[in-house]
Amino acid sequence: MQKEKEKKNKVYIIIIIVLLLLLLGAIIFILVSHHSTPADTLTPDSSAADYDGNHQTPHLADGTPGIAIPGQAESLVFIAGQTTQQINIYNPSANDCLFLPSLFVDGVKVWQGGYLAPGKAYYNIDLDTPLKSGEYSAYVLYECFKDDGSALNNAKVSFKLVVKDENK
Amino acid sequence: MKKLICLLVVVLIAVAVIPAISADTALNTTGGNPGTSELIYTVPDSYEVIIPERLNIDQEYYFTASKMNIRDEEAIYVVCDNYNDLRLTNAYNDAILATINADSNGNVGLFWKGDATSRIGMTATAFYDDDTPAGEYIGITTFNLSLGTKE
Repeated sequence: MQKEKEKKNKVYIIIIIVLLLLLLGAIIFILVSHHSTPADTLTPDSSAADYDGNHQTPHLADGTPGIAIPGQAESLVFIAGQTTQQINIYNPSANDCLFLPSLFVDGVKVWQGGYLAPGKAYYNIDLDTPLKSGEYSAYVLYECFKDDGSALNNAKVSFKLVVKDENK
Repeated sequence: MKKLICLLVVVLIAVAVIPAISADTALNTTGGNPGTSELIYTVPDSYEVIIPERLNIDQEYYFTASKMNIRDEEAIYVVCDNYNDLRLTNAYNDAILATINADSNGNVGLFWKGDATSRIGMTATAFYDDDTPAGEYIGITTFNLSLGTKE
């Protein structure tokens, strides 16, 4: 009887030890998965320069020097009754010329920017007069110049302008 | 002993469930039931067409693009505004006239989605007589870029 009891106790102890080991293993697994140590990092090349865009100047298929003209979406939305509007007008950083941008709506100039250097942009413009709601044909005219003022080819980028009342 | 074993089993089960609960990311609605929301965003077209700095009549130009992220059904059309009435001058301000030769639709450049080079080229024809001084004549013009439906 005593021997049987001792045997049973030994079995219980073994079971308890196994359960404790499993419990310890589960706790360790949870801790490791939440606090994983960072892997060994690779050393970047400190002699590399900061990326500030494509340094290759634009060119045509035969290597003729060119001017990169940024397009617009098929239609843009302005808010009726206000002069400040959002539009992306930029001079790609790879260009070697200045842009003099202006905005025309139904053939009438409504905004004139200043000389825009490569890598610079307008994101908000102030129209000469606010527009009424409706649909218009519009274009951004890019007049292009070298630094010495000599004129280059120009470009117009056409799009549909939808002027909406605010909150509509 | 048996009670201790039972307790350990319960604790072990509870600990084993923790990683599964922490990975659950159910979204609850105001009614307390998980739900889904559909989000829609339209990425706008973006493109950059490269035009020549100046026109040289002796060359055939193929415009290029540094970016042409438009839809499959769209195209970028390039036309020359004063294609019939170009004025080129030399260093002494002598002038000749020229016309741009466009395709049947009046285009001098055409891009489809992903194109890096225009599908059509642009040439020009100069008009001068025997008295016109020899030498290089250069002019500038305005190119009109528009996004439209592919024809």
